[in-house]
Amino acid sequence: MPLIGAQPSETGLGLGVQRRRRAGRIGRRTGGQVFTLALILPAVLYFLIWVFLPGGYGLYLSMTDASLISSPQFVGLQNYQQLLHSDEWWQTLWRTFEYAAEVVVPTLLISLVMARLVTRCRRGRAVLMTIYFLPYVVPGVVAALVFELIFQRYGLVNSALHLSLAWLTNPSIAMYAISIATIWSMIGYYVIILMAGYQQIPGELIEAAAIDGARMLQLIRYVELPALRPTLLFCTISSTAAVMTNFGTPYVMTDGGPSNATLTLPLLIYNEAFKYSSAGLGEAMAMVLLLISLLLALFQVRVLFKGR
Amino acid sequence: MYKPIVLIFRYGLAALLAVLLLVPLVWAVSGSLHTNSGLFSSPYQWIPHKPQFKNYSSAWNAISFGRELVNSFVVGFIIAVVGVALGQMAGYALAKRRFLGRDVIFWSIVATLMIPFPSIMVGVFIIAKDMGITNSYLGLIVPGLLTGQIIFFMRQYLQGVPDELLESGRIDGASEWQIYFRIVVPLSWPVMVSMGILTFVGSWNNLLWPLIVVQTQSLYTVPLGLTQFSSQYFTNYTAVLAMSVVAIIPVIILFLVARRRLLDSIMVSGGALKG
Repeated sequence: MPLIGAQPSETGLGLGVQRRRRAGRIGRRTGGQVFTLALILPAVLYFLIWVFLPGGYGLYLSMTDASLISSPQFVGLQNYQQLLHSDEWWQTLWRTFEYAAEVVVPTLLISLVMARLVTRCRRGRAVLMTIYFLPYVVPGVVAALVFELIFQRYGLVNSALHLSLAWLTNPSIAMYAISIATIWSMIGYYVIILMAGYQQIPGELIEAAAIDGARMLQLIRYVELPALRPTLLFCTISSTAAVMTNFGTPYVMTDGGPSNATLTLPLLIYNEAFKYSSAGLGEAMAMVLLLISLLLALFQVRVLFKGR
Repeated sequence: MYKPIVLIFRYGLAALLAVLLLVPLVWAVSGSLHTNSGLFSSPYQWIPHKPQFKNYSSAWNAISFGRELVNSFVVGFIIAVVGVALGQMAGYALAKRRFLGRDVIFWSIVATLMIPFPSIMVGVFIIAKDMGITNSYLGLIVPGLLTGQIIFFMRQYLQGVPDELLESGRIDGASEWQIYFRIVVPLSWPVMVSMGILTFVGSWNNLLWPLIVVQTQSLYTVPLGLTQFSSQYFTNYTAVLAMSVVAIIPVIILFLVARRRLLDSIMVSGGALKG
């Protein structure tokens, strides 16, 4: 027979014990609230100070002539009007979408192939996964520097393909070099996500298709792609957002050059705010970037929760 | 069941893609042992005739690269430890505690995942400046301490912990703090470690914020130091490559050590997000 004190959950507790437990629970409840507050408060404060405050402050600054040095004067929507009439702005915005498309489409196609191969290669799967993911952990600056050297006039790419292209100084092809470096840097992440998607396709579905005599292309077209649709949409949107806000690769490889051919939105914001110290105009640009990101996110949430 | 030709094609393609992905890394290692002219010889010699190990020592001495490595380690370590601790606490509160405004807080934190840093960086810089922490270790560390990702993951994971487990602790008369430290923290440990590694790698690889917040060279982190060095001495290609190789080593070691856990948590995140 166990001691009552050791097993308070047993029935047959004395009245005194029950009363003590109730008192303890009330005491614990207020203590519990202090405890909860202690758990959550640091995170709440952190996000208020370092995400929401800068966001709100940025919105205010976008309507001022702030310069990081002098005190800002309110100018209303003047900065936004200036953007509307700025060719450089529209070109940069368009170029940023172009960059996103140049990276996202090949990234998804190649990572889809890779994910399928990894799923189907039983032996050596761990090795393949490791190698495919490896570039993703390489610092973006290092990747950019290595590709900058590879794309030099006498670099590896030209010598391997017997070309003599000035990849990084020719405005019409510089963006391709940057896109290739970006694809290399981010592809591993999407291979892993798509692999998870592949593993969720029921095996019976694929077997049934095989018994019906489906060829590989039919299998991919009618079974795998429909099943992967939500994962692919998730990858499309999140990679688009990631590329549009990528700063390191173009900054290191070309710093927006030659003649602005690789100037994307994050670089333009950085230059405007920190180089030319017109923080107000930079913030107006940043708010547009924020708006685009939130629209993408909204779209993503709709995709994720559709059919739930 | 499968014809051998299918298998050969499949493994051949898989291997080809793997080799293509590895080329830039192998080239970086091989190039870091070349002379500057050997780097651009055609056809390229993958194994240099005379490996120039002095590239490493001369690059190391050219700038205070050792100092940068230490800076990156310290900053990354503190961000990983503090960030994961705070994130785990918040994740536990959001998963298992009932309190006013819990859903608002949770969704606000999820919303921060959608806010790209370049869109708020000017504001972050101004707040750091008003606090007087720009151009300091605090400035490098504090604004990047926590991410919504850590909290999201921790909440997701801790929601799977059965309530009965925590309840049994309460019945045994343990205080909430004791339950937290004796049950919740040990349970969270594996996820905390993989989150910590991901956070460290993220900090180690971060260029934009150090670029904005730091001016003094003694505060440079590795990516910032590499960028500045290459923009000044870009023609010293092999030194740039040697330092790049050194900068990769820590993250590759961390990745290989925790490979399984990291890949699993990424796969789970994709699955969890997708539902």
